[in-house]
Amino acid sequence: MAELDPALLARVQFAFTVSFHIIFPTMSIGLVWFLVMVEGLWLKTGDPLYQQIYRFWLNIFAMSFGVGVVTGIVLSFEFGLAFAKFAQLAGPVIGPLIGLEVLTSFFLEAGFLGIMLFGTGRVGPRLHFFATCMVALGTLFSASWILAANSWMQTPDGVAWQGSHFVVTDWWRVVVNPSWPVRLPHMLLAALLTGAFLVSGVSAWYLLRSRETEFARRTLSLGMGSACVLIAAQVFVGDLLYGTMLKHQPAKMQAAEGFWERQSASPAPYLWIIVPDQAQQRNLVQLGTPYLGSIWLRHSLDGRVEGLTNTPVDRQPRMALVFYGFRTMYVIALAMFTLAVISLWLRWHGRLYSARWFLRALVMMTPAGIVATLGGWYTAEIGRQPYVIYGLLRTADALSPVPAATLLLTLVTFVCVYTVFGSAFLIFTLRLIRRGPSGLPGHALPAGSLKRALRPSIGGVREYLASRK
Amino acid sequence: MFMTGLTGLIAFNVIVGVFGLVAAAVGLLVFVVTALFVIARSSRREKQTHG
Repeated sequence: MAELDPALLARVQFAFTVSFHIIFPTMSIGLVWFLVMVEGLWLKTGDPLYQQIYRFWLNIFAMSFGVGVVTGIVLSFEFGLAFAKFAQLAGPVIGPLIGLEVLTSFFLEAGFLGIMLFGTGRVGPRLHFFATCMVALGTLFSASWILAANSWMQTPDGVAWQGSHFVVTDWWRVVVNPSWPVRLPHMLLAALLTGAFLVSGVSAWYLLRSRETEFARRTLSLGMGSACVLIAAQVFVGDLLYGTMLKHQPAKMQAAEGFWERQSASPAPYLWIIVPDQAQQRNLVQLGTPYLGSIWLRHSLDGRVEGLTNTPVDRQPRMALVFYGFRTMYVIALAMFTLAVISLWLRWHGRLYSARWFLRALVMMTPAGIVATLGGWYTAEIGRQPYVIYGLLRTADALSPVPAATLLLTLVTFVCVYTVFGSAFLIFTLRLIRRGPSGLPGHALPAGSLKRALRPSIGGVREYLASRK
Repeated sequence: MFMTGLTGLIAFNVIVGVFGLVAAAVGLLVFVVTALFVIARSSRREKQTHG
């Protein structure tokens, strides 16, 4: 076991658990705001088709929400178990932020999730809509606090070092640190796009099989309509974030663009494929489009791009991982933009629901938002290395004194347990999709008061007690 | 359609290269407004067809 590196195992373990976790909040944030839109339209128009769409996606939202909560709790424990030094040094900053997530978000979600899931027909439609909005607001608060904590690790501000740990000198600067105002909308837009392409992909699958046609047409229209607006906003916010990170974390963006030279050639190409040699500080192979690097990264026809040799070797992240994480996200964003433009063209010509090649492309793009989000997070987290708190604390100095064998054992356990979680989620979700919205149990009870909502359960208790006598 | 799209893409990139970030922002805004117009128009048309 001597050859195993505890630092690497701790990082792989956290990377695995957080990668698995982020899939589910991304889906649930995207879906809950879609549900808000659909239920709002149902209240406005009274069209029962919106209610059917709501009830179908509510089930998938509930499952992703459940898995997201369970896998998120694990991460807090991991700070203490595998990164105890980080927890000790940065606890005064990270602890309150995670505590605020529990207070503002979990309480709100826990209070209204029950009404959202089981309240249809038991409470009035307006109260039900209010519950959906509150759960959606809870996801927004949750994302805000987590992004505040993570952004502080990327661009730390508002703290002072007091010998053994950081102390907060200005909470406002801790929360509204330089990258948070741009990273938060970037992540929220990513989640909304994930939801939009998820619902569009499933609808396209129904349309290709001529099943659930009315449901699928309306859902596809809402999904791709939202995607058009969201992807345009995401391109703009993504560009702003690029500028912000270039200013505060130049090494990350240098690695993300794949150049080694202090200044690239002018005009700079946009690199799509590279084979970097980190030891020699050069690319063995590189393939790009001329001019595009200057246009996209410098917004000019002849701008130069800075390479990774501007950063000292001992402060450089691994270029290959950062570059391909970033490219994965970027290429998917381009594909989303292209499909959004094509959807408008097809919609204009009345072929949005019948162009089979387009529907097939949408089916393939169903999980695209999740993959893009993972690519973006790999860029953010690997690009911050070798620091866990950028410029202040190296990852190697943040670890717990845990033997490699223990870390390996817990890593294998996590992989086994999460495989069960992931498989169960996939099986139930795919089964639900195969069954379709028409296969759901019959319509809910008519709306009534809160007192009436409690009556069936009280009646059930009475029946149970009577049967015991 | 492919050629139209490719021409549009190249034109957009040249405009961004020459006029900078403001042109990109205006381009995206125009895209969003066009999208909303197309969606509203096609929804009206669909309502008339399907009721």
